[in-house]
Amino acid sequence: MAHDFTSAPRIEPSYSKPQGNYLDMEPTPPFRYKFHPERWGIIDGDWLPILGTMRLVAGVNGVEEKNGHLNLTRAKVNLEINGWKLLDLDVYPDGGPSGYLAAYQGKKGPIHVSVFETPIGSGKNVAFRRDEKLYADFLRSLISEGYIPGPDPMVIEKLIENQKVLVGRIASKPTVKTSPIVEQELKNAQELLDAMLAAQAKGTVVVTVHSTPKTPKAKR
Amino acid sequence: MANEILYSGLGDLRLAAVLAQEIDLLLADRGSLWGHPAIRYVGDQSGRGSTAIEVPLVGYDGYDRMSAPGESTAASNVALTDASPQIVIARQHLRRQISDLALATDSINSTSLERLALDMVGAASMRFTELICNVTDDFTTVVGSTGVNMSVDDWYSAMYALELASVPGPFLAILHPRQLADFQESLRAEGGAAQWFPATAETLKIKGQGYVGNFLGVDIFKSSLVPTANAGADRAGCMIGYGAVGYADMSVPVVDAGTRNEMLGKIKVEFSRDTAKQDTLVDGVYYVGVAILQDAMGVSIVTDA
Repeated sequence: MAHDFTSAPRIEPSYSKPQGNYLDMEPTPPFRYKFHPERWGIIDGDWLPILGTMRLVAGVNGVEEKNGHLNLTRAKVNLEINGWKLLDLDVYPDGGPSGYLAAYQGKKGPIHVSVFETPIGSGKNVAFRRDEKLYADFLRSLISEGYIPGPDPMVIEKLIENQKVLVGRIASKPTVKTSPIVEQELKNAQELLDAMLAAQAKGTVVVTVHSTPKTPKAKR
Repeated sequence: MANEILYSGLGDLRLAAVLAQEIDLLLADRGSLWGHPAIRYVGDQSGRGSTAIEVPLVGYDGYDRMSAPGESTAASNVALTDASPQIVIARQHLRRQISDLALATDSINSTSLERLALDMVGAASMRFTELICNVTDDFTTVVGSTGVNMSVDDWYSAMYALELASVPGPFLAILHPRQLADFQESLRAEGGAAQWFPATAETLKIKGQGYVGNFLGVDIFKSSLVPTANAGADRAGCMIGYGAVGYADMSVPVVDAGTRNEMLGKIKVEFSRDTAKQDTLVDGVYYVGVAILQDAMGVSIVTDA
């Protein structure tokens, strides 16, 4: 009698290439944000920090691999010598256990970006949509929650002075009245200077309330 | 007339398609920073006892100047200033695995073991470039504005910052293609002396990968590996002088474990067999580490992505 296969268990088919919604771009490593007291800029109308990123890649700026795990001890020493402060993932509790770090599956490996970026597009044309307001609020919360200090007035004065020099330099170009490109550069620089002065006058930073309840942390 | 011999009817005697005799490379950024004189090479650290190297920096030769204490006044000691940033070396690795069937049916030498070995050199070269780009986006001094295209004035701001800090050359700027394109756009509107520089005309020409020229004494290197900043809003290039960034590497011993090894400079390529699958594994390995040595010698250029 012929064997009946109708009751054989189904299994998932195997494929040689990844299936599903994988991003067609090169993988990127996980990272941590870091803060320096002299790096500030105008973001969303306020003086907010321009954060750096420490990429968790063995061999970069002192990150080393030991027993299958990344060791950041020497990397932190390198950072602190230059005045940086590393920001742990939990400074952004709204992002869940991975904080401000998000990862998407790429065809060749995971792609790590911030939670403020979302991939859009299809096929080989992958772009990221940014939530600028949410990122600015995150930066504000770093100050209001005490993870980083607010901007030093002397640093802000120096940055404003640099911007004034830049505006003057562009305004004195011989092509400022004849070249639309230079005219636009002058407009951009003047607008930024105005925003810097307005933010300096505003002074205080808006306090951000997290949507996720969190245990109050002592001011640092 | 019937029964002509036509190409369309020779399905049993013709191939649907054949390969051209020369392979071409898929589009990718292959510009490498290896060997640029602005990046300090700390040395080969094999046999030194550790993967971590401290680079001694000492305040000699004019860092502290003499003073005039007076005719019979004793001079006071002046402390020697020093620092020692660390570079940690780590293994960088790429592996390929190719079946005997793939090797046997190769008609144009596109997947020979020799070609795969050579691929490892390119892989190491671009990995080195990627590691350099991963450190040069975080200097304390920043020029440019978030969300604003790079302009000639950002270039001058970076140059002035290095001049004010008395940074020695040679100088190198690493820019993302977006930043370079914006810089070219701004440069074409320049008037005054800058418009007559031969370097201005050169910089405005279309550029290939990697090194794109020298502008006002600074080598420009274009790389798509320049990372983003401000949650993807910007690209973070840099302008550095000699001594801002350093790297160290390590020669590794060739171990005779029944595998075939080749050393291509500092890159070790090892061939081994998976006899159960009848595959050949090709492993390329490069031991290297990079780090910022002196923060004051570099400037980050953060402009719109």
